[in-house]
Amino acid sequence: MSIPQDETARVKRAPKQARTLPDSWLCGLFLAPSGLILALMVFYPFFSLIYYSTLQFSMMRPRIEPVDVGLGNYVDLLNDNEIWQRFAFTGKFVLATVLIQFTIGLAVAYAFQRNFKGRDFLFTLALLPMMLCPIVVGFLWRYMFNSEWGVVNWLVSLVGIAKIDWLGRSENALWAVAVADAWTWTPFVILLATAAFRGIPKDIKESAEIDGASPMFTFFRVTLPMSLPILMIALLLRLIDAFKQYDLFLAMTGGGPASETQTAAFALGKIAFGYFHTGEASALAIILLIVIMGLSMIFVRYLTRLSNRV
Amino acid sequence: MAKVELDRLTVQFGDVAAVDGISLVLDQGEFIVLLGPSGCGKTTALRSIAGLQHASSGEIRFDGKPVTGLSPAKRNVAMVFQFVSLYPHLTVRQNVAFPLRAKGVSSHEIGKKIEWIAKVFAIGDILDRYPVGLPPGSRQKAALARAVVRDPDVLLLDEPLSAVDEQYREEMRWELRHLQKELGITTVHVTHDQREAMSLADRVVLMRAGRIVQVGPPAALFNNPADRFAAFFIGSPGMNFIDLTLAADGLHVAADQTLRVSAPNSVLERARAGGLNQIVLGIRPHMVELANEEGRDVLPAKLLDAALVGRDLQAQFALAGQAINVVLPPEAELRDERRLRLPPAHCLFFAPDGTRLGER
Repeated sequence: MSIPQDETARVKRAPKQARTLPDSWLCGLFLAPSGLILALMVFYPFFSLIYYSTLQFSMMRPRIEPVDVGLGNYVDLLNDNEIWQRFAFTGKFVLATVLIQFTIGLAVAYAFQRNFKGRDFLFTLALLPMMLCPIVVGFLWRYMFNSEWGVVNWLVSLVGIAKIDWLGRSENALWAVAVADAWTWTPFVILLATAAFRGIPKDIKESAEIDGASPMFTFFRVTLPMSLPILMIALLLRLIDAFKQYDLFLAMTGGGPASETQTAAFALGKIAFGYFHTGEASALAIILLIVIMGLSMIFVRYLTRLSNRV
Repeated sequence: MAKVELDRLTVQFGDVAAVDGISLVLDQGEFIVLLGPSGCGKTTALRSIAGLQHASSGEIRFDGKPVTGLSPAKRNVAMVFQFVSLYPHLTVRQNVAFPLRAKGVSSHEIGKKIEWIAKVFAIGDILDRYPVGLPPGSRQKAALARAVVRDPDVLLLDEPLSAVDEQYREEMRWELRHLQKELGITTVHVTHDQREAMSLADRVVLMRAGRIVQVGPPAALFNNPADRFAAFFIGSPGMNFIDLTLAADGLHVAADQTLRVSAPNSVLERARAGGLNQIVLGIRPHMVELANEEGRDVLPAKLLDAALVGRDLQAQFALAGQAINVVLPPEAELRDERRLRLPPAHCLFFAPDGTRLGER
């Protein structure tokens, strides 16, 4: 639709007032503080990181002249079997915890759609774990998973199963930490899924009811697909967070046995602040960044396609 | 296609009865329009028939079988909503297929049904589009197709045309009526637009405050309204009302006792029998005539304003200080001072409480 000529003529610019800065200046002025902080706290470190990743040096030995190794750090890392194992373990952990979070999160959010007595109270209660400090959560679960006197093994013994070494074996530890992580972050999924479910127009839900769709059919064919844009954002955030999980492993397994339960982020921490191989650590950080950015880009593309439709 | 009966249907919201004991029988294949101002209970009544709204008391029967306690899915009704009527994440084809898939109809069968319905509703060219890019008219057509595709017993329409642009609404009304007759599905259509009601319905059900005011074919409601509300609500521009006083020597205009009007004896008798000394005269704007000479039922008036609306000359006069709307042929001669004749044959009379006086 085009605006008639006389309409545009009527929309006149407000007369300029004296003694004001030009718009572009004002804009700059408003942006300056945050721009400055961003430059200092994000851009400078980021570009230094790229620079460091091409050097062989340790920040603990500033007197030793850094050696320019080009992409050497990257080549070393990508040829290192150990690093690939860290990524594989991270992948398994991310899948495990996100799977638990979304299965339980969606189920609980679905239950919260119905009106029942005490719903609001329960809802608030369900959000509590999210508000705890991660390292505290780590210690709590470490004690609960203690093989000798932990509550988990006590519960297990009630059904007559022998004690399980939860944190001492990597395949068990993966699930133990995943449970702790899921316990903390499922509330986040509940929160966003509830918001998404509530955002679906009443007419749509009633349409489905009249169309003869069963609750299951409605959930999988209407509620879930229509909630996808919000659920995808929740999934992306959960994936990124799980990918860089560090505190829980530090508190619960210390990365052991050996280095079997070290995630990529944990390995990075160890290289950077255990061995102080600053150059190598920088390169690993960049690799992690690329993985996460790649993941995010896939999501953003998909989201744009979704939101164009709904 | 079913015969639908509402038997003293009541829907209570707290202390308020949104639907207050209405009884109504819809014949098979009939097109019924529930008409009334917002809050009159028409939508609540519709939702009760759909099963989306619990009836507080009374019964709903389809073909004699009570369905009052059944869920919407078990009633085999179809409904089209006012605004969001299609699933936005599905194409038109998937939307139309939705109720069939929900019932587990085979893909082959669904394909055939969609082909048929696409032809009936002429939506073949938009089958693979998402609702978001479609004009409201096409969207509602697709929604109707989805409603009709599974042969519902009753089709329920909740102001489906109100989102459609004025220019297309007229056309869609004809189309809707034509399709309803062709498919022969018992249809209940809710609207607050009396013109829509008049052009669509086999019978109009006029509602107010949870109750039925009048049921009948559109012409009956227009020509023979049950009370002052029915007279006021139907017709455009609306009916004029003039307050009268009833004296021993006949009827006078309340605001100017020197002006007299006449009324049939039956009206006067009923008013006197009821002990009324105030009554209200109603006359449609089309029925008021211009008069050149003084005479019976001719009253002096001042012209306030006039405008040519299409082929009608719509004028407003002040009669004894009260605004009177008049619709005249375009060639009518307007002057500042004109006499208006209120032909007694076209006047309706009401008691102050709105009930109609005289025979209906």
